[in-house]
Amino acid sequence: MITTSKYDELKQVLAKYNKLAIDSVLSYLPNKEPRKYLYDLVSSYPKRPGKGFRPGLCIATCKAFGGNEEMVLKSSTAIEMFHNAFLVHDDIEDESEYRRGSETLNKSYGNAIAVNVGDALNVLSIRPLMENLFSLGPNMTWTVFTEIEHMVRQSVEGQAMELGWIKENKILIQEEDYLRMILKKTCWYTIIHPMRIGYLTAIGDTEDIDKFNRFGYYMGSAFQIQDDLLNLVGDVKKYGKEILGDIWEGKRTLILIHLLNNCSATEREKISQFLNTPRKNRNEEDVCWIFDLMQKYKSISYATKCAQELAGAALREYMKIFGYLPDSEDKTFIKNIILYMIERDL
Amino acid sequence: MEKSKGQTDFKTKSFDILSEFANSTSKVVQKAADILEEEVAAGVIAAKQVEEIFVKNNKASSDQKALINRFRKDAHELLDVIVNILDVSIKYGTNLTDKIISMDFNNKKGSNNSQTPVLEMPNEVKPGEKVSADMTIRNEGDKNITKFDVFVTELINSSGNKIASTAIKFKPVNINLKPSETKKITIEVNVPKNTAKGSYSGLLQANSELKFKAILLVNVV
Repeated sequence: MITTSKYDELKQVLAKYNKLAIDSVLSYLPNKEPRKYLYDLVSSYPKRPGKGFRPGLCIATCKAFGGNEEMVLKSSTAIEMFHNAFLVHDDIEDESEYRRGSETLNKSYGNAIAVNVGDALNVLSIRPLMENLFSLGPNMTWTVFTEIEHMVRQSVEGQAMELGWIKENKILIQEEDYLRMILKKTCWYTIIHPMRIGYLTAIGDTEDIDKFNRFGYYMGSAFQIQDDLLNLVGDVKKYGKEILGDIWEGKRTLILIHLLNNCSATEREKISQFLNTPRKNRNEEDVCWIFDLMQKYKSISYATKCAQELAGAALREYMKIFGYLPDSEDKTFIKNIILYMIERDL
Repeated sequence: MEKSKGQTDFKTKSFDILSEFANSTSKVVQKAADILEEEVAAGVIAAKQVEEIFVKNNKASSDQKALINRFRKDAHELLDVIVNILDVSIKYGTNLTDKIISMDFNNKKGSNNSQTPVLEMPNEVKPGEKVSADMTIRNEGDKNITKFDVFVTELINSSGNKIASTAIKFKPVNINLKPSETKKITIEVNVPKNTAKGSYSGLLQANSELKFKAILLVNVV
């Protein structure tokens, strides 16, 4: 295991870039009326302790390829704002109650207010991208927009896939379906596009930019699977969300998919009935029973192995992309983050 | 061996294990690689094609309004906002010599808003050489404009390199314009020999009453 001090070192770099991005995000939030149900709330999620993977990867990639923080800060700010907008809406869609250690906006203020706050964050994220025009020029501004457009579109498509599985109570989902869903829902916007934008901003060109796709997909998949694992076995204080919340929600994680493909027909039928029950009518006994089955059928250890293999593949891609670059804090940070993705506890 | 101040490479057992995974053939990784290939073929390439078409048309099209309208069609609301910004950049960004800049004393807002236009010099310039372009201005108001003058700040690129404002000249100065009258101003940028390559920009501003502001963009190659 990595020692705590080494984790701290990596977390310091993450925190440094996260602070840059969050300070910038907050600077774009209007300080005016209507405050009570809008502008006082748009800063709620950004102010909570987040990991800052997206701005971290965006800024670090830019710097590793010879760019600087300033040139990529507006794009990183927009990505972080889009991310916070996604979180607000995601919590409504999933009926989640806790986010980053506090009550979700939907729980505290209701769905209507929360939807509007998410909308506001989406729209406000356009401004920093517009301002790229003055520092990056029209063509690069357009290129960053096309990256962001693809990023946002993929995320909502991925989200639709997952919500569709829940709405139709889809049971027979294959691993391939899951991998496609997380590519669309998570990987493009958590890893691939932040790194692509950091790279193209640094070198001023889109040449070879697709080399980040594989790296980002492997790393993003490892990240998402680890996230699903933490939901089952994490510490609620560190993780910030409800433990076993994904089972309560009926979320189609790799662990649940593995279980559904390996349990007995009777068990599958009972799980199906559970998933077909509205969340408010589900009970803790059934949730714990499903968790026990996940252990019985080694679904948790299977997902852990998949995350490790994907992280290993990400390491291989890392060497291809970053291997020839001169040593730098940012280059090493990105390498270390691969391991952190699968060993993190929050 | 990657080592640098403030960030230690994790030379740990965990990385060794990951390296072993990296060298093994994993089913889940192979599945992921196949899915990515399909998705990239469907998505990124399509996006790239759109981008290439845009850049190509941006350079070649004589009817840029039509291009923008084509992008607007079927676009998402957010994209519409994006397109508005690009519209500004196209109108002002690539056709400095063709663009007529309207001046009106009665319009106090003028161009002094968030959509500050970008005036890009039409030709790239090498260090030690000069580049010039004509800017056409027109009095759209019903009063005479007297002693119209333009000022510019120093130009700066994304690495912090600068071109002093004294290297930029406007001819003629102190222009008078009757209502509906049009005149040309030549902007001349003398790029110093030791100037680094890059895209330089600075704020260009007319007499305060006119509220005209723009970003001047010079590409040094």
